[in-house]
This record gives sequence, C-alpha cells and structure tokens, in this order.
Amino acid sequence: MIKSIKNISSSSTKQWRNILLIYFIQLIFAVFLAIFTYRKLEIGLGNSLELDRLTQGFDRTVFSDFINQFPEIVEAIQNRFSWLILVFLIVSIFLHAGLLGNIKKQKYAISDFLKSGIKYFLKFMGVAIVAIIKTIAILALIWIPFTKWIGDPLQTFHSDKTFILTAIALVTLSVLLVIIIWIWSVLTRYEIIEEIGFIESAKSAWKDIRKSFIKYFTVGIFIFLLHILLTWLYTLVVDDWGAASWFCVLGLILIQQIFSVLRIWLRAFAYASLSNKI
Amino acid sequence: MTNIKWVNNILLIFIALVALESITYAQCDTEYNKSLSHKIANYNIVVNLDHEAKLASCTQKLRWKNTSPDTLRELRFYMYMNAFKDRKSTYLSNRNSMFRQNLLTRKEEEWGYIKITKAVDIEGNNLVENQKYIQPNDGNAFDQSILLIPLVKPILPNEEIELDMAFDVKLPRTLVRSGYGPRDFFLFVHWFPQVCVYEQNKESKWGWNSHQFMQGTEFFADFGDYNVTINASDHLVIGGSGCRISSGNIPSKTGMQQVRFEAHDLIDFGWVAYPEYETYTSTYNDIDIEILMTPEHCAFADRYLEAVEHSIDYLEKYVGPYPYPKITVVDPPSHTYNSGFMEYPMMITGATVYGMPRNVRTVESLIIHEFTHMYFMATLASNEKEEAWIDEGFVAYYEDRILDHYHGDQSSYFDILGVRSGNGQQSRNEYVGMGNPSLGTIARPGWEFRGGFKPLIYAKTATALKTLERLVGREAMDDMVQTYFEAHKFTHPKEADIRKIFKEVLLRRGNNFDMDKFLDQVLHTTHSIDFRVIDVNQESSTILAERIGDFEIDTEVHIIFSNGSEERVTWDGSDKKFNYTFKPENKVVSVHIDPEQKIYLDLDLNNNSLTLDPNTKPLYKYAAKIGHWLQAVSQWTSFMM
Repeated sequence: MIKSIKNISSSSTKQWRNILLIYFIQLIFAVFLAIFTYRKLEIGLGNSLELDRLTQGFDRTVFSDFINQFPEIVEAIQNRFSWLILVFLIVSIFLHAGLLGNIKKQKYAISDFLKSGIKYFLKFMGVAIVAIIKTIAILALIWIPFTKWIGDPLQTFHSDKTFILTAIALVTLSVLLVIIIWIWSVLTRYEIIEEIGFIESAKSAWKDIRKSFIKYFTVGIFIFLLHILLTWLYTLVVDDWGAASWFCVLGLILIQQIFSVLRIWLRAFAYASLSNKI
Repeated sequence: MTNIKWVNNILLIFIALVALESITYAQCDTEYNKSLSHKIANYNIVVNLDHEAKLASCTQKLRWKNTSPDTLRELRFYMYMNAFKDRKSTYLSNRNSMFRQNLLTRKEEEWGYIKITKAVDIEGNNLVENQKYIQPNDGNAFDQSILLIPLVKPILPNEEIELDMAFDVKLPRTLVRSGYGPRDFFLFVHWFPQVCVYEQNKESKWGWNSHQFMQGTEFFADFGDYNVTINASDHLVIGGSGCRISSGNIPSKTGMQQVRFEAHDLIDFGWVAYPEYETYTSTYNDIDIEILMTPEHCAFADRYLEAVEHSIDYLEKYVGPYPYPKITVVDPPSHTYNSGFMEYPMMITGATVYGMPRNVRTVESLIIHEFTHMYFMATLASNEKEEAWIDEGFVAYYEDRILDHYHGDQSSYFDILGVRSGNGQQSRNEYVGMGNPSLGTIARPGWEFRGGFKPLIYAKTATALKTLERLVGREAMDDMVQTYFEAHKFTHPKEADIRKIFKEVLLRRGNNFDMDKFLDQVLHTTHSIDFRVIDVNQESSTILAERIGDFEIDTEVHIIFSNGSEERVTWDGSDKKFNYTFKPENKVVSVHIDPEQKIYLDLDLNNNSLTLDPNTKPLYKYAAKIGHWLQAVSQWTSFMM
C-alpha cells in the first residue's frame, strides 16, 4: 500500500511541469478576477478610512455598507466570477486531457501534454458531457422524489434531527455516487487514450470499476476527503489573517498559491492512482 | 445505645426538615418581591384538559379592581383564541394561507375558539346572557376577539368585582404561537378571558383600551396574581409562568395529574404541555431556571442556560433586579416551530435547529432577546399593540449589548470561516440594509405596519438607542434606563414617560443633549441620515461634505493635515452642507465625519471619510482572496471535465 502510494506520488510529482502549467493558466484567471475586484473595491472603498478596520481582519459593517451601497459592484464581481469559472471548465477539459495523456503514456514533457490536450479535447468533452448528464440524472433521482415527498419537512419528520440526518445521509449518498461517476469518467478517458472507441471505453470503464470497486472507490473517497481537508486547513490558516503590513498581504498570497498548487497536484495524484499502469 | 439512636433520628429528621424547607424556598419563592403592582386583575383558574379533543374546560374566578375615577357598567375581555376560529377574523383577514399553512383546506377540527359559558357576579347575576362581541378597531362583525359583558351592578371607583366564570377553550392547530401540534404538544397562550385595560389615554381621558387581535400586536393587560390549577393526563410534562407549587397524580382519576402554579404581578399567564420534554433545572442569583427541552435538542440545554445566566447577570447590573423568582424556558418541538420565538411573563419560548454550531449564536440571541422581555414587557408593561417599539426596541438594544459583551462585538452573532458579525452590527444592518429605510415611522400601532415591522421596530430602534448611548455616554444611558425601570416597573409606561425620565436624568447629570429633537426624529419621522465627504480640494483649500437625508444632528469632523496637526470642527446638525476652508500652506491628509461612529444610524459609514493616503493593503488582500476562491472553485467544479 505504502509502496503504491509512493509510486503514485512519484508519478504525479514527475508531472510537475504540467502541474505548473495548469497552475499558471488557473492563476491567469485568478489574477484577471483579482484585478477586476481590486478596481471595483477601490471605487467603493478606495478613499475611505474604514479600510483601516480591515487591516485586523474581517469587519461586517464595512462589508455590509459596501454591499448595501454598491450592489451593482457585487453583482459585477459575481458575474465575472461565474463567467471565468465557465470558461475555465471548458479549458480544463483540454488541461485534463493533457495530464491524463501524459500520465497514461508516462510522458512528462509539456509538448506531450499539449499534444494530448489537442488530440483528446473533443473526445473528452463528450465524456465530460455524458458524466455531467449522469450526475444530473443521479442527483435528480435522489433529490426530486425526496423534495416532493417531504412537503413541509418538519411536519413530515416531526423532528428536525431526523430531517437533518436524512438530508446528510442523502448528501453523502449523492457524493458517493458522484465519486463513482467521476471514477468512470477518468477510466473511460484512459480507455480512449488506448485508442478504444467511446462506447467500448465507457463499457470497459464500468467493467473495471466492478472488478476493482473497492480499490477505485477508496481512492475516490480518499481524494474527496483530502480536498475537504485542504479547504478546511486553508480556512483555518487564513481565518484571522489581517492586512496590517505588505508582508501580511504577500504572505497570504503565497499561502493561497501553495494551496492552489497542492490542489492541482492532488488532481494529478488522483489521475495517477486511477491509471491501470500503476 | 437506644438514647443515642433517638438523638440521631431526631437530628436526622431536623436536618431533613431544614433541607426540605430550604429546597422549597429555593425552588420557587412565591413570596418573592410580593406586592409590587396594583394587582388590578387577579385570576384563579382551574383547567381540565382533554388532550385528545384539544379542549380545555375551565373555571375562572376573576377579581378585578376599578382604579379609575369612573363608574363602570361593563367589562371587556380579550378572547384572542377566537382569532383562530375561522378565516374571517381580523387577525387572519380572509387570507388563503399563513406560515406555510393552507387556510382554505384547513380541517374543521384544526380551528380553535374560546367561549364563556358562565359569568356570575357576587349577587348571583349571570352576565353571560347579555354578552356581545365588539369590534372597536375595524368593525369586522365576524371578529370575536373582544367580548363586552354588561354588568348588572356597576363597579364604583376603587371597588372590586368578583366574577365566577366558566369557559371552554379549544386550541387550534398551531398557526402562530398558541395551539396544538403533533404528539400532544400544547401551548396555551392568549387562552383565557382576560380583562382589557381601563386606562387614561394620551389625552388623559379614561376608557377601555381593548384592541382586537391583529397582526403586529401582542400584550397589553393589567398586573395581578395568578393561581392556575391544571388537571391533565399524566403523560404530559407541564411547565408555565409562575411557580409550580404542587404537582402529582389525582388519586380519584386514573392517569390524571394536577399541577398548580402561582404567580404574582404578572400581566399574563402561559403554559405548555408535551410528553417528550426533558426538564433541566438550575438556580442562578436566587432565580430558579427551568428549561424544558425536546429530546432532539437536549445538547442545547447548556446554551439555553448560559444565555439566561448571561442575561440575568447583565440586566441585573445595568437595568435592575430581576423581579420574579423563576423563569421557564421552553424549547418548542421542531414540528411546531411557530410556537417558539416568544415571551410570556416568567416563561419564554426559544427555538433552535439540530446541529447548529456554537459559533452561530442564533440560540443565544433568541434566548437573550426573549429573557430581556421579562424587563421590557413583563415588568415595564408598555402597550405592545400601540407602542410596540418601546419593548421590542429596548429588548433588541439590550440583546445587542449582552451578546456583544459576552461574545465580542465583532463576532457575537456568528463567526464562520473568517466571516463574522456582532449582534449590534447585525441589528444595524437590518435597518440600514432595508430597501427603503424611510419606509415608515417607528412610533405607530403595530397593526398599521405593512412591511418593515422588524427592521423598524426592532433594528432601527436598537440602532437609535445605541446612537443615543454613544451621544450621551454609556454611563448616562445606563442611568436613564435604570431610572426608567425603577420609576415605571409594574406600570404601563408610555413614550411620554420615557422622554420625561430621560430628560430629567440628563438634566441632573448636566448634559444638555436635545432629547426631544432626537426622539422626535427617530420615532415620529422617517428621516434618515448619511454623512458623506464629497471632496477635498487642495488647490482651493476647501473641504466639502454633505448630509444626505433629513435627520438633523450635530457631529464632529476630524481633519488631519500633512504636517501632522489635527483639527476637530463641529458640524451644526441643521446644515445639510459642510464647507470648510483650511490654510493653503497646510495640506489635508484625511477628513473623517463622526470619527467615533457615534451616529450609528448613519446609512453608510464608509463614505464618512476621505483620505488622500489610502491604506490599500486590505484591498489587495480581499482582491487576492476573491482570486484564490476562483482558483479553488474552478478546481472543485472541474473535476468532471
């Protein structure tokens, strides 16, 4: 087990150039939004002495007043955020194609990464669409009957505890099923890289999952929990982070970017762990 | 040996008696602070609850005193359970639905009512025959929330009347507060025929203050003593206002229990019954605390208790001694949440959600709010129908103070993942974040509100009181409220009484703050205020600022110059514009209107200042944070791509 983890870890770490490439592309999106946000915040708060209150951390009044007075700015930032996410989702098909191609073929060069990206982009888009449709269908199957059936939840359940625990159980079930779909989508892509047709790849992926369900499922849950852990750690670290000095601001940015790289490395680790060759 | 045994036994009995006596005393001292009010309306009620029929058959001995100079030929009663008789009542106003319940399809047995079947005076006259429902507010003939009973023998000034009454009260399925829920949950509030208030109005004329039950209205009744005996099935756990002076099974009736409550100087009496309650008891500062928790919320008992203890500590220190021997805290079952969020004399109902984390203090905020009503409602019994702002406003103000004191003014309401808010900040934002902060005045009857009730009555008043506190000083504010409490406890104070006390205290303290101007604007106008620095022009050496809104109040402008010198300039509240010319050789670095944020009512505190040397570090920080969240979210959402 430890040996396997070491191997997977080493394989994903060898992709460092490609991980950094993905990171820099993601960073471009982030910087684009950050500059936009800075300019917007500057319009609303730029010359206010209330900014001093934010040097020690979050201040509800400063933000509430800003949001109350400049709802259009908040909306603009939200819109820009949503659009950038949408664009990145499309770009990420290309990036994941590059990464998966390199991991499967055990290549590490950026040129190979780009080649795989270009080669599999459209096919992987098909896989992504099917995976999304499956996800939506699974979630709809779970949640539509539930929301229809519960009516007024407190009347149906008589206890908020039962309702909340039921909802948590359903969320957990949803997550577990979505993890299975994600595993399927990765395995299908690996099959496609092996030059197998789409339908055959999809079938083969299901076959693989059935054959080594526990292994794949454990990997999926492990990766999911690691992401949760990373997010929790991040919020824990930056919770009370102030902005008293430039050192603080730069320190925060550095920590943020370390977490971003870690998340991308974790993605590479996840892909490597699902690769048959490892 | 035998002698020693006897001595030991006697000693043991003596110790046991002493212990029993002290337990009885500590449990709930009904003599505690006795005779505090004029005891105008006194009730002795016996309830026989048929829990299956949701029906209580009751007898009531009423002793009511005429403290007016008038001879009275009628009595008026609140019959508020009739508001839930059908959709035609003024309270329901032919609505199709309310609180997510469809009133059109409501079953017959889910409606409630109250009906007096007997009212006999001391001479044996049965007064029920001539009773009639009246509708002093809206003339809605279908509304039966106020009953008029003509008297055969008039009540002379300073005389008392005794009525021997019987009434049936059928609980509705809970729409709001009063009613029954699944699994034999019962909340009896506004449940008995309660005499309306005969008082002097604002023009000093005596008359009945007898408002129908309408939206936005709560309590207004006279103080008195209550003896309430409840006979009910013994599977029910019963709690209520007042002290439980006895409880036990009724030997002659299998499966029935009798619980007796006694309370002095209350304006109302409420009680609750539910088989699943778990009871937690404690004593704090000689005040008994009884907490009735639903099993799923038992983990919150310590939070309820801590909130009550914090309230007692703070209010006894800054307002006055808690006037009752006990407080009962009721956790409503989640299937009947609408019975929560409310105050009754010596009893409050909370509400929580399973799993609510400790750093989200909605539980504490609610319990502290409702407990504070024991001061502003139960003791200072202002008219909650006509002047709802008095109790709710003061309560919201103290809720903010208590929460902020014990949990920090930046994080007392919630503190999650680096995003936090104080309760006072939350209150202010409820007001300044209204779509239209000038929606209406505060000082008007509750039934006149068509939206904005909570943000105006609670949040704006609390924010205004905080503004007042900052303008006159915390010490003066505490002095004003303590004097108000002491002077008017167990009476029905009105706005004029508060003004008078507040002004007297400030005068005594040598403070010349214009209280009338402040309160007039806060309570009787829709004026808002927003100071704004428009420009600092170094070339023409001028500072230009403005006051947006018509709320007039003096403030200070703090100016810092490039040579390090500072200046504080008074801005006359009546001037909408502030024009200031500084010496050309001394450049301005920053201008700050109201730098101590005394005027907390200001709709936007961010535009109160302008600096030519801005601190941009927080802007970079939050821009970076947004950028990073994009990185994180794009990473999470792209897992399927």
